[in-house]
Amino acid sequence: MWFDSASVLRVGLATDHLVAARGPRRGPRDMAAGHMQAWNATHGAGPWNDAVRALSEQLASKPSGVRRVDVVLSNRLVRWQLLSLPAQLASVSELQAFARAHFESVYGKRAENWLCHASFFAPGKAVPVCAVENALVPALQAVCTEHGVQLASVRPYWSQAFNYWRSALRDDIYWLAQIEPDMLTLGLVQERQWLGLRSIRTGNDLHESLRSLQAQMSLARDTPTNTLNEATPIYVMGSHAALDMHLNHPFHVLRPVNSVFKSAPQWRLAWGI
Amino acid sequence: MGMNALDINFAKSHRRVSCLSVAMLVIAIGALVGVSWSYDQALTELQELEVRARRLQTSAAKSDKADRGSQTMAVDVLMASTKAMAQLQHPWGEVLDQIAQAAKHQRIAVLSLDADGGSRTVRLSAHARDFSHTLAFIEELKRSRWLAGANLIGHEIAPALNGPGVRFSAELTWRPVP
Repeated sequence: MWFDSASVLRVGLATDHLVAARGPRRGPRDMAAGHMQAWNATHGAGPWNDAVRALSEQLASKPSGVRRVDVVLSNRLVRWQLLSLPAQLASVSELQAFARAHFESVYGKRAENWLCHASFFAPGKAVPVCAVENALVPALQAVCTEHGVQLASVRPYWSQAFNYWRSALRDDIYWLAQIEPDMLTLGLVQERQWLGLRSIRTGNDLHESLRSLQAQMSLARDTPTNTLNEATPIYVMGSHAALDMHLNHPFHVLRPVNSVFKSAPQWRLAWGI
Repeated sequence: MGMNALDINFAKSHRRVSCLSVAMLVIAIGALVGVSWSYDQALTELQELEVRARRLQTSAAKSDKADRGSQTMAVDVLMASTKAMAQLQHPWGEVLDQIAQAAKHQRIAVLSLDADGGSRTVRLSAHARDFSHTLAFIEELKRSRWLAGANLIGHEIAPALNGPGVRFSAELTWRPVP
């Protein structure tokens, strides 16, 4: 169904902030189009509860005409794993079972309540798989229903941004980093195949976090790559203000054309850019 | 070819069909049926028109042929009637009178006459007492208002029972009727 951009509320959800705005696909027209709400993240069961509550408040004060909500989840609210899918997998349900077993092997019992989605179904290949807590999506759905709007999509920030920028990623081998205020997610791609995908919490030194993650992934990589070295390009995307700093080679910052995103980089989360 | 897109939407299974969607689907189906029916009608009409046009083309060809035939016949009839009229308008009587008078004046005995209306000529053969009478006969015919010309074609000495004689032949051309 066709929706005009004014009827779509784009929402970026993290554990400690929410950004919501309306505007065309390429971004908002001006700063007045958006709203940001921040809070102190609580550590405990359901770190997304505050985010859902903030969404409810946002929808309660929503400008008239909003009929649909597109939600983008910060990497703080999801877990990524790169799974080498066995060639024997014959259906999506088998893939789901395989992915859940893998997440349980890494994250333990709490992964039993996670909802796992593969990016695409390709047995015999390495596929990024994402997991969220089972209760998150129904909670978002309930909030939207309560305010009479449609929850059209709930997508991870990493996959959204990769889809947005992938036509610009043309090297044979490259790193792809996504930087959020306290989170770094790093992927490694060679000849259009995923070789690695990991996330870590970042401290004050973003470069140190990046080098650390690169080292981990290089050691864990099953496929030896002679071409991976210091000159391997690192594409950087995300909603962190650090993206506007000047970074030398091998960094390539992926900057949206819309100038509003420059003054308000946190809004990129809502657009998944 | 680029990499596969990462297609993940956790809300996909929760997507509901709204009343507006159903209404628009019904409208779209209705519109599709309407367009399809209109197209079918237009197609039928087009086929009928094509058949009609083909029939008209065939009958036009036939009538054209018939017209052309009747036209040819009419021309033939006209030409024949024109010819007949032309023949009727030949001054036969006047020409024969002139020949008869000239023959009486110059004591010429006309032996045969052969007229051709198409070329407006009369060939005659005759017998005269002598050559001077032959020439006088030709000269008198030349002066006739009905004749455009009179020429002696040939002559020979041909004695008759009662004395010398000349047999000759001449060709006369009469004037067209105004």
